[in-house]
Amino acid sequence: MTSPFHRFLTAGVLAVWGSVLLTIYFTGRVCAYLHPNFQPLALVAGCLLVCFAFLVLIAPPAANAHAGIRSSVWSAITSLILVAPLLLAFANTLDSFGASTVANKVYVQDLAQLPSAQLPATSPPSGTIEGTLPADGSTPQPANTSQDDKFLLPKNKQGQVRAEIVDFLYAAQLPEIRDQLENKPVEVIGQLMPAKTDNPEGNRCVIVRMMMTCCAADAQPIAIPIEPQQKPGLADMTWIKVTGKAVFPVIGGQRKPLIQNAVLEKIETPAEPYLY
Amino acid sequence: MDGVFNFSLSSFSYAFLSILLEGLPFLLLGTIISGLIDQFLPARLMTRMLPRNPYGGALVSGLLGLIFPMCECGVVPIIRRLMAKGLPPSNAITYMLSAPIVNPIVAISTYAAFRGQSPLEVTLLRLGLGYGVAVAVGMVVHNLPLHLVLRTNVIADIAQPQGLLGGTAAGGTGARLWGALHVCVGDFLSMTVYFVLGAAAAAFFNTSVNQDFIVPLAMNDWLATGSLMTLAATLCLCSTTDAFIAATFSMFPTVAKLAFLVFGPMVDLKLIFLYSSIFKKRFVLGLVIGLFLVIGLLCMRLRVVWP
Repeated sequence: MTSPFHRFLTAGVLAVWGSVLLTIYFTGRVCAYLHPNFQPLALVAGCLLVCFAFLVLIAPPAANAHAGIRSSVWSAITSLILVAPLLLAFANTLDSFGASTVANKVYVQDLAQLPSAQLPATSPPSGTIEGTLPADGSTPQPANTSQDDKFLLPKNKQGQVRAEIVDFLYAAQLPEIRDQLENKPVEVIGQLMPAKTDNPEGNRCVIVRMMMTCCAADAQPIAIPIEPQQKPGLADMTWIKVTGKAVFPVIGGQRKPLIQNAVLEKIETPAEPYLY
Repeated sequence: MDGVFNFSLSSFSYAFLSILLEGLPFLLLGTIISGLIDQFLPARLMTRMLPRNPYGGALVSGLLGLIFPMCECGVVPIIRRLMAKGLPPSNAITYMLSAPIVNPIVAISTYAAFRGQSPLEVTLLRLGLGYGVAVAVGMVVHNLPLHLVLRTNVIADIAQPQGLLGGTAAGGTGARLWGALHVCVGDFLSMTVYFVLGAAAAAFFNTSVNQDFIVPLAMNDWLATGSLMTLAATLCLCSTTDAFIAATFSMFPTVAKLAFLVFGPMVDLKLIFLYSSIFKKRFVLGLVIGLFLVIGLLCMRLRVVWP
């Protein structure tokens, strides 16, 4: 880092990386990329990189000039490798996975496959576990809080039980949750996808929510099947609100959730598209 | 079921950026520590602290992660600097392989993730296997000539008595901090090149390969273990959180998940690129194949005694 060329090249690379991190953080896009626990780290790293870029420009020459710097051509090539993919990805990403990518992933349709699920009885479903708050940004309205120590799912204005997709997975395993959903009108939001399995008559699709453990790359689609009243004329991965009747048939010796007579309504992308 | 490959540029970009955003802070932390080690850690201190016996040194190095926990992204620049400070390569490699597994954060996260799935056994076996394999690799490396293990420029760094940039700088704290900045930035840039390439490879496999084709492999113990280890190498998860993913593979036997948890922090696509910045390509290839076979066989052996 002795020559002006190397100094400016190094500072430029650091500044680009720092700027991308800070831009993603301060525009709120970081929520689509990282679990909340990791988001502050991106901010810290971005700030440090921008600081380092400035410090590199004003630093005294290194005692030993080699410091990993080779020819100017090599430095330019490595800088290109460092910057070009980052900027190309930054320009091309839609901050979400497309339908073909979600279809490539294995749907989680069983509580035992759910990341960090707690079984059998101590696990509270939506409204009390992180990330399963109503995804439209609203505050959950408990339908009834008079019964001590029993979790009750909220209801909407129409009296439909408002649940998250994970609640149905819990309900399939836990009778006290299932009692609140089975054969009752329910409302759930998620993204529309084709059903891969358990679709003998071809009239089912699934509603999915992506659950993130650390970053978007490890996100898994949590899915429950639905039987729409009419064939949905919506593109895959469209955000929808589904209302219908929840049932829990036993398929292959295992109780699984299903929403029958489902009415699908297109909605805006929620403030928190991911579950954590 | 759609085809095996299904590429989408926007999804690839999304996964690629998310891996970079997750791993970069840890890589940066590793290079900052690397710079501070270079300027402030007295040369040969590590050599004096560890047992002189190389095998004893490997045994102790495998436990250093309990005191100096570090994830797999950050540990690579650190061991490069520690070797330049006199730490024997066999001990450095032992620390490199064990620290992402044998550390308190990983122990807690593994225990938490496997609640209801024999958490104590899985946690102890993960740490025990990780430690044992890392020490064994260190002992093997001790018996190899350096020129077969390390890249020429790294050997040259070690040959300098006080490491890169003249080691602990003469002068005051300010001069040393400037020196640490130079080292940190140099390491960061050289490591990040490999990290970018590894993240791109991981993002491609993560988004483009239809995972439904992997699931049938779970029906066979050997294939299940091998496929989860391959999956660990392609997903490039952080060792502090990979247990939460492994715990979800409910259709796979526990030993296959254990193989995932031990192999993943030692070998993944981005790490292969990062290792290549220090080690000879042939050594990296041998290390990857050797770890795959040893960890796979050990876990399959466990299947016999711990069904």
